[in-house]
Amino acid sequence: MTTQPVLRIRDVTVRFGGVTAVKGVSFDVAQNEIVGLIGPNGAGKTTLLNAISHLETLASGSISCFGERISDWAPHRMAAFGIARTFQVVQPFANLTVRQNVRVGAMFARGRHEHVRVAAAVEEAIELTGLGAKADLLPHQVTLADRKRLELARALAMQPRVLLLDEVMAGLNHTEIGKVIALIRAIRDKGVTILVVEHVMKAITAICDRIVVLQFGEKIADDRPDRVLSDEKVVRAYLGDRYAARQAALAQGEAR
Amino acid sequence: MTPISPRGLLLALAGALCLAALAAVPWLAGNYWMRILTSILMYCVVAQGLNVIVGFAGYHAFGNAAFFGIGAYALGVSEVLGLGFLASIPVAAAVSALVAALVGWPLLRLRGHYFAIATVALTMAVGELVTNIGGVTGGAQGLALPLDTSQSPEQVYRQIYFLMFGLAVLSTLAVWHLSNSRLGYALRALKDSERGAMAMGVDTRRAKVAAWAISAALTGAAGAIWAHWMTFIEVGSAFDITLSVKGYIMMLIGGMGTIFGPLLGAAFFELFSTLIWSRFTEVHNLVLGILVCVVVLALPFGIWQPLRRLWHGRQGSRA
Repeated sequence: MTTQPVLRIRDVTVRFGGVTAVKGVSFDVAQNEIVGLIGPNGAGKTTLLNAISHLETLASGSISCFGERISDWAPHRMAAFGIARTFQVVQPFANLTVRQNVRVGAMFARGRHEHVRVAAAVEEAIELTGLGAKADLLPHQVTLADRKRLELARALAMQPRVLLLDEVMAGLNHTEIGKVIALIRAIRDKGVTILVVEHVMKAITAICDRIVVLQFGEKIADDRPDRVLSDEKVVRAYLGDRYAARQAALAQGEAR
Repeated sequence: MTPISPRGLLLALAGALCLAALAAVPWLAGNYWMRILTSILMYCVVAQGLNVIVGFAGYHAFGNAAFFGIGAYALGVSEVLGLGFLASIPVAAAVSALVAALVGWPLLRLRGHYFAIATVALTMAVGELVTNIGGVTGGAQGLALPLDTSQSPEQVYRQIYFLMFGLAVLSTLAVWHLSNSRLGYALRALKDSERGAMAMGVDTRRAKVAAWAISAALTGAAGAIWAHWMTFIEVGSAFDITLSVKGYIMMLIGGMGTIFGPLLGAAFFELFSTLIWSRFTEVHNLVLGILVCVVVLALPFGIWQPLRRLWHGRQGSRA
C-alpha cells in the first residue's frame, strides 16, 4: 500500500507494576482497513486498546495517528481528533437515556457545538444501530445486546476517523452478530479505519482484512485471516502445544 | 415544538403564584416569618450549589462551608475597605469561585470518600488561615462589618430578603440551564463513568473544576449576603461545617440532580426544623435526626421524583 498508515503502533510496552502486559508490539493499520486483534485471555488485547486511547500509560514505544504522535495526548483530545472507542464492559451513563448517551458522543467529539449537527449525528447513529424504538429508555431498561449497540452508537455519533472496538459481539446471539457484522462493514464503507478486538472467531474472519495475534503481550502473527488461522504458532497459542504436536504429526503422516 | 399542555400551563401558573407570594412576603408577613424565609432562601442557594457538584457531577463535596465562609469574609473585608454592599457581593462570589478553581484542580483528582474528606479539611484549613492572617479579617476576634446608617433596620432586612430571593431564583435558573447545557451533559456523563466520558471527548477535569467553581460562586454569594445580614462574623460561624451538612441533607431530601428538588428540601427541612425547634427544644436534634432517617430510607431519591411521578400519572417514570 502506498499511503501512509492511519494508525502506527511502534514497540509499545505497557507494564502494571512488575507485570508486562504488552511487550514491544508494533503494527500498522492502513486507511479504511479493518484489522482484528485476537489472542487468548490475558494476552493484552484490551490493554493495548487502552494504551491507544491513553487510558493506560505507555512504559515505552509510541503510537501515532495520521502522522501525529498521540501517545501522550489526553483521552478527550484524542476523541476530538477523531478516535472513538467502545468498552468491553459496557459503560453507559446510567442516569442518561439511550438518546442522551449518544448525544454526549456527538456533543464533545470533534468540537461540534451547533445544535443541528449534534442532533443529526445523534439520530443517524441511533438509526444505524437500530436503537430508534428504545431511544428514550434508560440503559438499564434495555437488553445487553442493546447496550452493546449503544456502545457502538455512542462511538458512531462521535463521527470518528478511527474506531476501536472492544468485543462488541461478546454475549450476542447469531442473528445479532450478523447484524453487527453488517454494521461494522457499513461503517468502514463510510471511510472509517477500524481496529477490532474480538473473541468470536467467525465474526473476526468475516470482517477483517488482517489479523494481529497477541500472546502473553507479544505479537506472534500479523497476516491475512486465512493464513493467520493456519499459522502453527497461533494454533499452539489457542489450542495448546499437545494439539499442535498432534496436528503436526498427522500432517507428517499424511505427507509420507 | 410541542404545544403547551393544560398541565404545563397549570404548573407555570403555580410557579408564578409561588414567586408572587414570596415577593409579597415583606408586606404580608411579620418579621419573624421574613427571617425564617430569608434563612430558607439562603439554604435553597446552598443546596443548589451542592446540587451542581454532587447532584450533577457526583463529587461529594462535604465542605462547601469553606466557600460560604470565604464569601462572607470576602464581603466583610471588601466592605471594610470601602466597597459598597451590593458591589461586594459579586466580588465575594468571584473570590469563592477562584479559590474553588485553584484548589479543585488538584483536589478533584480524588474520588468518593477521599474527595469528601479533603473538602472537610479545606473548610478547616481556610478557617485557620483566616484566624491566623488577622489584620483586616479581624482574625480570632471576628470582624464587625461597617453599619449602614442610611437605611432603617427594616429596610436592610427587606433588602437582604430580596437579595436571597433573587439569588435563589438565579441559582435555580443556573441549574436549569445546566441540565440542558454541554457542561451539564459532561457532568452527568462523568458521574457515571469518568473513563467513558473521557473517551467520548469530555475534558473531565475542566468540567469538574467548572462545576465546583459555579457551586462555590453560588455558596459564596449566599455567605456574602449572610455576612451583611449578621453584621458581625467570626470563623466559627462563617466556616461552620453544619452548614455543609444541612445543605447536603436538604439536597438529599429534595432529590439531588433535579432542578427543583433542593428548593423543596430546603423549605421542608427548615420549616420542620423551625416547628420542631419551637415545640421540643430539648430533643430538637433527635427528632430532626429521626425525621431525616425516615425520609431518606423511605424516599432514597428524594421527595421531588415521587411528586413528579404522581403528577404525571405514573407513566413518566424516567428522569
